[in-house]
Amino acid sequence: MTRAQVSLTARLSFLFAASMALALFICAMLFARAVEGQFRRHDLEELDGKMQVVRETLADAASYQAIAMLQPQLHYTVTAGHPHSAITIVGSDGAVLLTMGQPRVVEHLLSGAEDGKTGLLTWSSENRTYRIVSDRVALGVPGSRPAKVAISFDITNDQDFIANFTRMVWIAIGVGTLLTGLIGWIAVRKGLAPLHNVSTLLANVSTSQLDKPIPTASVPRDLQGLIFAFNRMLARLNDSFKRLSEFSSDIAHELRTPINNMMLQTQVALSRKRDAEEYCTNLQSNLEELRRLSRMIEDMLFLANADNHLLAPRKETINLHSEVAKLVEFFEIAASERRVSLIQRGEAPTIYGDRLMIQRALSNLLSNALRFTSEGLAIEVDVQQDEEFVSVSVMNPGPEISSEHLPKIFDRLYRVDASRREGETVNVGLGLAITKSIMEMHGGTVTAESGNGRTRFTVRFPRKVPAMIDVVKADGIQAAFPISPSIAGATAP
Amino acid sequence: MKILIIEDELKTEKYLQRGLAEAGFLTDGARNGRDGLHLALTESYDLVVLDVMLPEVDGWKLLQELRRTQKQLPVLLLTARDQVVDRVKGLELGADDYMMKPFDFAELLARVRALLRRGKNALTVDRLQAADLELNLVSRRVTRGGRRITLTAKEFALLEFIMRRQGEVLPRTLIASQVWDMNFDSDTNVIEVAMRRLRAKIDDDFEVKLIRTIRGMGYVLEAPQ
Repeated sequence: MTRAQVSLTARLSFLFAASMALALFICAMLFARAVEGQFRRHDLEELDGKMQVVRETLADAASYQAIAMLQPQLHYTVTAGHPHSAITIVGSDGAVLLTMGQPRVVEHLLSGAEDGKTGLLTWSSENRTYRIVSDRVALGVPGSRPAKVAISFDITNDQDFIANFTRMVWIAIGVGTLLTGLIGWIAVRKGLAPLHNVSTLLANVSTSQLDKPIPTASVPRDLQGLIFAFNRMLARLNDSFKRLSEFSSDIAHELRTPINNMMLQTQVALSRKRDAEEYCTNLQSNLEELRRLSRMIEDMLFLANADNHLLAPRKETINLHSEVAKLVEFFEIAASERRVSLIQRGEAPTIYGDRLMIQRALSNLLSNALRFTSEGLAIEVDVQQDEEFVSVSVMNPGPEISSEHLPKIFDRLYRVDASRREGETVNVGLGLAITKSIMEMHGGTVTAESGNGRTRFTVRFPRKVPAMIDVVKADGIQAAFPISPSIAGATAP
Repeated sequence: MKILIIEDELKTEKYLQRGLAEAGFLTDGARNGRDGLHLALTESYDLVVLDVMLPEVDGWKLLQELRRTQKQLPVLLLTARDQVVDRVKGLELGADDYMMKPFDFAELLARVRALLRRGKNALTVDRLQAADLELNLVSRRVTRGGRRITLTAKEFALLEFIMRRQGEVLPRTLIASQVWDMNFDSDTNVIEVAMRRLRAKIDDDFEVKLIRTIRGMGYVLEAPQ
């Protein structure tokens, strides 16, 4: 079980149990109050009833003597239903007319401790609890003033009942909470099982399975959105990973041929005694080959760094017209050898960019154009602007690039005619990829069109200051996708 | 001129020493940072070539230590890694130049010479001369053996450049970057063609050839002794 899932389960069960406990507690409190209230009401009713009977009885008693003789009758009234009752009747002058009941209670009633208080009173003494009601009652004795009557009965049993009841309720709450906690925990665990399954599935995805998406059939609906997004991400990773693998093997192939050539040349040269001149020639030829390799390696490193956003283009104001002019002046020298002319036209406002990179991007286009233009023709370089972009286009008359190749020419190591490699000085197929990389870093684009015996490459720079990609640390990739080391490791350099 | 090379890779260190020695410099080599620093602080050198990736000793720390005590000593950094952070870090810590491996020895030599030339008073001259070839920078006239030679503006700039660096073998990439401000390694043969045309005007009609091609290294303008 994963850590995250445990805490989720625990959270849910805990919250569930806590809510149950709270609910049970509130209900219990309400119920207890209701029960207590009920008892009080009942007691009051009873006492009032008894008081009424006493009132009527006393009203009938015509003399103090008669009152004293009422004892058995009052005894019956007061103790009906309440064996441990007490009653005291005290005349207005303070003379005790009648008392009945437990001495302790009677003493308390006579003490006047409850004088002045109205309503149902409760008194406890020596582990017993009593309800008391007192009132002034008119006597039947003519000319007498109202006497104070107090009646009480023992409610200790009732109170014990309530206490037991309350205790039971607390125990019930405790047990209920534990029970719901346990049941809840089991239920939540079972409920979250699909999540656990999905995590297991995700954890098992490794670079060898990037092309197998997670099946969404067994996944609960709520999580399907997540799985879809995950599968899309897998597809993208798979794509990048494949391209990376292909690129790596392509690079190895590219390096193989020149290295083999050098080995062959050197071996042949060493196979027999030769004069210094021959060795010199051999060494020079190897040197050229090595230079070529070195350039290729630099280009590839450039592309790798660009991919991983490890290159920070410097931002200067660039006048494209003058940059192009410098390039044209340079390439003209080689162009004129084949009677190819370079024509420059157009003006444009300044842009922001890295001068060296832009020079490189444009020079790739120009040297390509030069390579493919036949004798006596002209290459046209136009600097233009529109609302959004400032563009430089290089147009050369020459063999067309067919529409099937056109979208792929900016791919690395892609060559239209694969067999042309040997004849050219450096025709590794990285030039256009580098141009594309540079344009992307500047927030721009490079496009190609070919037809009617002409081919045109156009680079576009955005006029508004582009958000140029800043240097980002390589492990920024891992931070964004913290899935598992096996996947993140595939894309890190 | 004495140069100290601090480089742990055996072949690189050996061939660097040899190449620089043959170019006319006195050289000392150290294969690890500790020895290198010790030598740098106890002996006097005109330039240090330092490989940043040294075992045991942090090349950057070495550079800082060097800078602390020897403020004037030019340092050329070599590294097999090329990241922007490295370059900026190197220059901030006080390196004077920075080259990535694999490098062109001719290029390294040219840069070593350039670093050594810094600080020396840049002589402002009116004329440059090599044997009977004269280049007047004020009037923009070129003559050889008294005969006037017409050059285009760029050809003049090219000739001026190689004359100022007389006797130095100049690699193509350096010529491209200094004369045309083209800072990429081009696969076209522009420099070859340009030099051929210059030679056609400067050397063809004369017995003594001043411009020579050192195959694999570059071009040199030199009055023969």
